[in-house]
Parts: sequence; C-alpha cells; structure tokens
Amino acid sequence: MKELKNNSLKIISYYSGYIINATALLMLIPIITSIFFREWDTVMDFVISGSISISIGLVLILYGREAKGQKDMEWKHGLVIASFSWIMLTMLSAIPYRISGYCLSFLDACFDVMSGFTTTGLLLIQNLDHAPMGLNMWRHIITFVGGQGMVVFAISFMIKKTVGAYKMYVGEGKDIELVPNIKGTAKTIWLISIIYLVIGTFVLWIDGIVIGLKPVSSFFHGLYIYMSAWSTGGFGPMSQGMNYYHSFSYENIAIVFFIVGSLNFGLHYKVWQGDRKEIFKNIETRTFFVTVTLTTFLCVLYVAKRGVYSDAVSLFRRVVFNLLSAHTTTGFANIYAKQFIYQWGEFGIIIATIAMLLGGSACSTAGGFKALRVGIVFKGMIAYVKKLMCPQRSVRVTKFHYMKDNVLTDDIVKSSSLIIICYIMLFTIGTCLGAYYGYPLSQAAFEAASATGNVGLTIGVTAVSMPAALKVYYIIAMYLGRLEFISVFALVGFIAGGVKKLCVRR
Amino acid sequence: MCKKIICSLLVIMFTLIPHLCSAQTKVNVDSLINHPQKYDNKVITIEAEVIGEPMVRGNNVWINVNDGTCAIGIWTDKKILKNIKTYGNYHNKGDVIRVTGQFHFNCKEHGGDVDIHSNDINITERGYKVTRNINRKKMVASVLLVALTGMLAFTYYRKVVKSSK
Repeated sequence: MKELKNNSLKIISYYSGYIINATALLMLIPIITSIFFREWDTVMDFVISGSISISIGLVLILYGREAKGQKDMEWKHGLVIASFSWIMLTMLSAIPYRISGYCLSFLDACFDVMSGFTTTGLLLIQNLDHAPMGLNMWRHIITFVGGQGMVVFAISFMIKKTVGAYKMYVGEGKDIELVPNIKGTAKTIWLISIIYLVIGTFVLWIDGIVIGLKPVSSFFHGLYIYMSAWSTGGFGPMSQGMNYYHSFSYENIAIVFFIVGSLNFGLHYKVWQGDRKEIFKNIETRTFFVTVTLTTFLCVLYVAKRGVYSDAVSLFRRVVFNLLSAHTTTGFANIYAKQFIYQWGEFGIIIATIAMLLGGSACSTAGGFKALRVGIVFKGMIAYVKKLMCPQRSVRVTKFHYMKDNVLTDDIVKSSSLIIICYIMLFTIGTCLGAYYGYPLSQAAFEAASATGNVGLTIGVTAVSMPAALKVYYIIAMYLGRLEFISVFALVGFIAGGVKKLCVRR
Repeated sequence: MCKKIICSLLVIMFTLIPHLCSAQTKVNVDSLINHPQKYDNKVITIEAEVIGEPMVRGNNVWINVNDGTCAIGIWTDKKILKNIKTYGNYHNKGDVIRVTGQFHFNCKEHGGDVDIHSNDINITERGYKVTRNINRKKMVASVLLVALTGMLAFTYYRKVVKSSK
C-alpha cells in the first residue's frame, strides 16, 4: 500500500513540477518588459519569484522522476495534478505582487492571482495607475494563460511524452478533442489563441492611436485589453478599467473579441475548417444567443423605463456592453460599481446576476454554468415532459447537435445538472456569507455570482477592507468555478485518503 | 454700539461667504460617485493627480485624474495641455490640478459617461520623477536564489535528462 501511495505521489509530483516550471518560465516576459522600461525593482521581484518557482518545480520533478514515462497514470492523478498545480502556481505567482508592495497582504496577492488565472477579473491590487509595466504585463499574461489553461500550456510546450496528458487536460475543465491526439489539441488551442492575439492586438493598437494614445502605450494597452477580452478576464492596465479610454469604438472592438473569446474552441476550429453552419446548428450557440438576447432585452427595458439614459447610444454603451460583459463572464465595466446600484436598480442587478451565472461556452475561456449545460438541461426537461405526455409504450429519442449529432441520454442530462447544482450551491453559500458580513442581499448575490462564474464585475463588495473570510471564500469559489469542481474534489479526496491511511497506520 | 453691530455683521459675513460659494467647495471623486443625487449636473471642485496620458479628440482632450479615492475623466479644451508637464505613472508623480467644472453622472454628450466638463483647471503642485533606490536585500536574495536554481537545474540535468539518454 505504501509503495502504491508513493507511486501516486511521484506521478503527481513529477507532472505538477513540469506545469509549474512551464508557467514560471513565463516570468521571463515581465522581466524583459521591466528591463525595457527600466523598472529595476520589478526586475528583481520577478527574478526572485521566478527562481523560487522554478526551484520548487525542479524539486517536485526530482522527487517524482521515477514516474517519468510511466503508463499507469489514472484519472485521479490527472485530476489531482491539475488542481494541485493550480494551487501551487497561485501562491508562487503571488510573490511578485506581494514583494512589489502593490498588494497589502499575501492573501490579497493570492486573490489577485487566482482572479487572473481563473480569468475572473476581481482585484485587490493597490495604486494600479502607478504600477510598473512589468507587473501589468504579468497580470495580463496570467489571465491569458489561465484562459487557455496552464495544463494545456504545459502539454503544448513542455511535456514531451503525452502519457496521461488527456487526464490532466480534462482535470482542467476541458474535454474537447480538436485533433486525435491531446498534444495536437493543446497546440491547436494555442494556435487559435495566438492568431487572434496578433489580429486583436493590432486592431486595438490602431484604434488606440486614433483615440489619442501614443503609439508605444497604445500597443501595450491594446495587448493587455486584447488578452483580457479574449480570455474573458476583465483586467485592464488602469484603475478605471474601460472607462479610461472614453471611447465607443474601443469598447465595440472589445465586445467583438470578448464574445469571440467566450465561444467554444471546438467551434472556432470547425469554422476555420470551413464549417460555418456549425454556428447555427450548435445547441450551445443557440442557447447562448437566446439567453443573451433575453437578459439584454430585459435589462435594457428596465433601465430605459427608469429614465436613466435618454438615448440609444448611452443605453448601448452603459447597459448592453456591461450585460454582454457579464454574460460572457468577461468583467469589463465602463460604469463604476455604484452605478449598478443607482442606475440599474434591483431588477437590473438580478438580471445581471443571472447572466453571470449562465455564463459562456464550454471549452472556452468563459465561466458560469455554460450554455451547453443550460441547453442540455432545458432540452432534457422538454423531453421529459413530452415523455410523460406520450403513451408508455412509445420510444422517443431526443437528439442535440454539438459538433455532431448526439443522442440526449439521461446520463448526459444528469451530469450537466449535477455541475449546475454545484455552481448554484457555491453561489448560494457565497451570497449567504456576503449577507452575513452585512452586505445587502442583492449586492452579496451579485458579487457571489461574479466570483463563482469567474466574471469580475463588482458592485463594490470586493475591496481591501472586505473580511478575510470573504476573500478566502471568493478565492475558493473562483478556483472551483474555473476547474468545474471535479478535479478539486479529487484533490480533496486524495488528501483525505492519505491522511486517513496515516491515521490508520498509527 | 453701532460700531459693534457693524463689526459683528462683517465678521458673520466673512465667515458665511466661503460656505455660500458651494461650487468652490472641494470634494473627492469617491463622494461624487457615491452621492450622484447631490452632485449630478452641479459645478464642483476636485483636486487630483493627472495620470496616464492625455487623449486629444479634436479641439478637446480627455485627461484622467486620480485623487487617491477614485479616478475620473476630465473633458476640457486641449489648450490646457501646455500647462501640464508630468503625468503620473510608475516613474513619475503627476501634476496635481484643481478642476472646477460640471460633474455628470450620466453625460449626454459622451454616451452616459461619468465625467467632469471643465475649462477652469489650475496646477496646484508640480509632478516629479520618483526616485527608486535599488533594494539591496532584493539584490542579495535574487543572486542567492538564482544560484540555488542553477544548482537544482544542474541536478535535474544529471539525474533526469542525462539518465534518460
């Protein structure tokens, strides 16, 4: 039994070490950025952080080196590797935030990093308008890499042999296979992301110059905003977020990229291969279209009724933009947190909360329940009602189209429902916790939905002065929401199993 | 007696006059955002540091400012740019400006933006380059940690890479 346990530990240690090292090597990018902008203190912050991270990664690899090339990686290993490496990377990536002084505590630093990796966008960083370019670069890199997934990143570039790679890939909340082998799928996801990165940064760079930014700063603003839009992350380089630019065109370009970023990678691949009909046939895009239209319509109707905005442009910019940002779980806001309370009112806040929970597409950078699950559960409900209405002897087969035609089975409906129930429980606990600490119910619910769905919009609850327990809960909610529960449950089960064996042995 | 009454009236007047000129009362940006019903479409005064960079749009310019409580955009004539020398960022503390203008919680001209329209902007404090001395503790830590990483990388090469070949 001891040998088996050590074997599991070694497998987890070995591959986690690689994932940590792959992500830690990305710290070279903020180091180079800071050297370019002569931010010597920041250079040292990242040298220290990078050295600690790579050292820990190497120790893990050395401990688990006997597991190299082993073919007996089980599902539990893949799930635990994904969830464990995320926790390690959160703490290691928080080091530059903390030692730079821009986060007031290590907990706040971990909060910001988890928010970045999970592409949430809630932040506790201080004095962002005076933050170094290197630190801003790191914030946006972690959101860009987090959107694709650190495991995906490591599989693409670091791990030579793909033994067990699929199990780690699924552990990170994805299950789509674009090409027959998982390394190819991971590389394809990155290829799609990089091509859009080049196009998106270029378009935003040009528009940035048009709206008055200088060429060099326009390039970096364009790069950061694109990374945040595509990864549906919601970070921005300035404290005002999208408000900093005061630009309709800049916002519209961001809308295009964050909607595109919230779509399934499989859908992108299909469209690239020439199958454009997939956009219209796919249950996910249909469901997403219906829920986006409905929530936007209700919100616009209500805010217009309140007489807040007098013209269509204002309604579009201040309501539609933010609602789309909520539904795609991006988190870009061009209104202040308090405007949700004063201008959107209770009904608007409820609609935004529901939109945030519904979320974007599966196998994308978006969070929330996912349109695929919502569509499956809805279709499952209709099929169940029809079954009740039909004669008992009749056999009904319900199908749905998701990349190909699939039969809607009870197992598929059940698994979708279970994940949705987990999200709802997580959201409910977060709402209750917020209310316990004195926040009004609608605001507690809004913020809980934002953390659970990895959205990033804030109504004012997220602040440095927030209770530590709430910060810890939101970190857990963002983490669970991003990894979609199963791999985290596997990690908890693995640790509990190990502790139990230790106690039994004593 | 008459002189006493006149003196008292003068004292009361000079004490009250500053409070009557409420448009000149300085507020912070956070108060504007949190109390829109009180300040919307009113003339207010804020004092804040210019941050980022100006964005010229025709004959006007957007200048973003942050007073430590929150940041907001100022819409003003681009002639003001001649007076502003330093914008706040990592390397610099920006000029601090006193802005008197009309606050909008929902600007009709700018698609519902929260902003201040002003042509009364004065520099109250000049910005400066922030001196950042190299932190010796960080430098020593960097060198030691890089050395440690190097040793571990060498060990990894010998025990993992070389042994697999």
